[in-house]
Amino acid sequence: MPKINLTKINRERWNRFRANKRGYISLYLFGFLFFITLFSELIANDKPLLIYYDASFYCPLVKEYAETQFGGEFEAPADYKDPYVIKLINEKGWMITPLIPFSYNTINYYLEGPAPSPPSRTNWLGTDDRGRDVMARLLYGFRISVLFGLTLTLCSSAIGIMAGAVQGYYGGSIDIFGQRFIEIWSSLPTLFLLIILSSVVQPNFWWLLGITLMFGWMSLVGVVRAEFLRGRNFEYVTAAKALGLSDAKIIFRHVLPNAMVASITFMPFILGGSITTLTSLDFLGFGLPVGSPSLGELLAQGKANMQAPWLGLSAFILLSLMFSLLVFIGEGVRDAFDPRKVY
Amino acid sequence: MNETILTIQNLSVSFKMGTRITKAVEKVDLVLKKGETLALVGESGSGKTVTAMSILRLLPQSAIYPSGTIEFGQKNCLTISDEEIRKIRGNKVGIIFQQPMTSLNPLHRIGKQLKESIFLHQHTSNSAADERALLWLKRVGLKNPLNKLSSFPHQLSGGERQRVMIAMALINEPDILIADEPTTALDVTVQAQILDLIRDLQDEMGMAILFITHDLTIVRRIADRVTVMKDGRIVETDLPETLFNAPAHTYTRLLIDSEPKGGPDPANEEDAILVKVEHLKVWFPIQKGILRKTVNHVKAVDDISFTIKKGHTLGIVGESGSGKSTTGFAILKLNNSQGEIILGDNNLNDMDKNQIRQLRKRMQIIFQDPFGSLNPRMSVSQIIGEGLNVHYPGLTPDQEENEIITVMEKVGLDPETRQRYPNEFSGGQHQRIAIARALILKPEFMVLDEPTSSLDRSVQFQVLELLKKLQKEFRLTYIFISHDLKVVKSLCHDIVVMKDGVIVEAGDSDKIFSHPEHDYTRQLIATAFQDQPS
Repeated sequence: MPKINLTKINRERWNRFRANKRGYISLYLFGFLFFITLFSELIANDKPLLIYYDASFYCPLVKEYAETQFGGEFEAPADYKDPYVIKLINEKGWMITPLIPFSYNTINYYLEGPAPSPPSRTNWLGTDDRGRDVMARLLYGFRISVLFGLTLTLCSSAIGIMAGAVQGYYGGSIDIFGQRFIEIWSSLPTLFLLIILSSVVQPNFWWLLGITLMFGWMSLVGVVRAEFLRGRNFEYVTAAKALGLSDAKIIFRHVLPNAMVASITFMPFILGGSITTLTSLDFLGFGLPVGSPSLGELLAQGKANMQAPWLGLSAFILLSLMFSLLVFIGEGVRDAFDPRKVY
Repeated sequence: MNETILTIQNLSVSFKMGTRITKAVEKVDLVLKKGETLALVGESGSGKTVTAMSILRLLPQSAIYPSGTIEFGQKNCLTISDEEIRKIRGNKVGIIFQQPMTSLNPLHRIGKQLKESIFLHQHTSNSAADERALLWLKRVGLKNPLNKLSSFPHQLSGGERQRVMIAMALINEPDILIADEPTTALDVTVQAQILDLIRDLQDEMGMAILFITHDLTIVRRIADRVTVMKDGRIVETDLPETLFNAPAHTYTRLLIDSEPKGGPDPANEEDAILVKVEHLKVWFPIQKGILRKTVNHVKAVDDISFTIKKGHTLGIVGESGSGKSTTGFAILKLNNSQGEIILGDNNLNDMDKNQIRQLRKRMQIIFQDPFGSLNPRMSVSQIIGEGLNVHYPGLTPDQEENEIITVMEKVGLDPETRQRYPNEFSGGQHQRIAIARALILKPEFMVLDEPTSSLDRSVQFQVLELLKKLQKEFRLTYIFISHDLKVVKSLCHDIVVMKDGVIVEAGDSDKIFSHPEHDYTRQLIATAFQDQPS
């Protein structure tokens, strides 16, 4: 465990969080899953991790090699799933293949039946309707969902907190106009805008992030604004004013810390919500570009292929596991920040 | 004497936070007899409220009872079921809290809240309950009781709300009334009325009263017996006469002796004028309609003028709502005002925000709530040093540290404690930290907004002495805002008496105390000093 210098209050919060077994275990499990999936390329890939061929090492993950380098005939990049290439390499050396020898977009051409094929020894959770390994897609899909969710949460919280802080601290007409703007803004139909936009541009990760951020930053404004409306009347805020501190310093040093408790409590739930947004967009087909590993797309496939229950089921189980963990963590955080809670 | 109705034996109460256990009350023995008033006296943190709350088991979940029994009506209040304790609460034992503002539910009408406690413990018809509620509002001396039944709490004044609380506590004719500092949050003149009311009702109904207070003046007036508590233990129990005339314990003596006395250090009449306020007005607009047209104003401060000489203290006296704090805030430009505020040669109302910010180091403020005015997330040295960064940005960290250490020594704080956080200090120390924070900027002029009113008497005394010492040393000019005339008398050279936003009387302190001219001033002085032999 790294030594982090926590203040006394934060140490107590951490202890309260640890006392909540369910939240604590969930945090570890979620962290573990996320950590593992960060290295998905090393776990699920159609390229070997390391090749020893003819007394020298090759690392196909970093560099692309042509088939001719291993004594093949074509100048094209080597296809390490091809039995011919495998044979060539094994004759003069060896190779370490990842645990799951498929990447998220690798099509398994050597299926025994038509795709989607049921779980087997090679494809642990079967393949989808294009013959891609479900397990690999889940790994990559989990990663992209969480990364998307985290980025969206951080960005939207930052914007939301700033907007709420300014409105709450200054009050008056800034507050009134800000609130009316938010009311109008949040009633815009995000989904239709996304559909329209996706016919103009090809949405990728950043496009999606930008658009969902544009319409999703309002979630924390209310809480932060309320905390600021309360906090700006604290006597130590007046004391800071009397000392001659600038508004920015008062906001950051004296009022914002009060709002952080409420904000941090909300964050695991916002993360869950962000992931849901991405998943549902993917499910509807307005999400990440075709071919990207996405849980929503896998769900859509499950719906289209009722005869292949492993598609829907595995996506469903992963999603519900992820959301349950997030909710449990959220509960733990909420309790940890509640000083009246006895543990 | 009378029969005993409540016996507390060997009671200990602790609070459990995680693995940490804090002792709040230790081995307390207490007896309450029928029809008597027992005053439970002590400073904040002495465990008096915790003791009283244990009787009804009103303490939070984290409270544990390592030892003791509370015997009431042949039952031990600590061990009986929740069902049974609920039957006692509000029925056999009534309770009044300190804050009349927050102990009534703002969403329900007075009548409904009164009837709620009737219905909880008795089966009566709605109309009978109405009648009873009305009767009780009359009994607690509310004017226009029929109207009050359908009023909301915010439509009542503090004193009226406390009367409603008393009616609620007594409506089921309990055997015991627990009054937890019922007058602390009220103005002096209202305090006296409430105390008389409680006395009268006791004579009528013969209930026993457990009266918790830190104010010895009240004890003198109301108590049959006095119990003094300190650090969770009972120090002494005696009759008030014996206790006040011959206190057996040193702590009791300290409590009695720490009444503020004496006068301010003499000041030179020829000193130059430092602060001059002319025609100061603070009006808050009342806006109506969609277009928010200003239809009228709340005149919090209405056209007041006064001057303060350098090194002098001006006391602003008045009850809550008289505009005294608003005046103090306006002078420091912490709220908007009209009129002239002249500090040295600067007219503050003609200056913009940045110019005012530059001037802030010359004028500082000390607030009423010492804990509330310190950011709990900052260490003491951060709090004290904060203003330095703004006004003396050229200082090196070492110089800054030196300044902080010097000022901490000046106000009587141990510089070794500068890395600690406010919650590790007591109320008096909080106020010293606040004073240090203001003093480090080397101000000429300070507004003291009731700096001692939330402190215990013995601590008040120390803080006042400190303020006097600093005034002498740095030739500070004070505006001292207070409702406590005893404190004002011991600190101020000149006095301004305010009522409803205007000055009713102003002048030299000695003159006002010896020959008050206005009726209101006379009334204030009479209530404040009535316990003292004239």
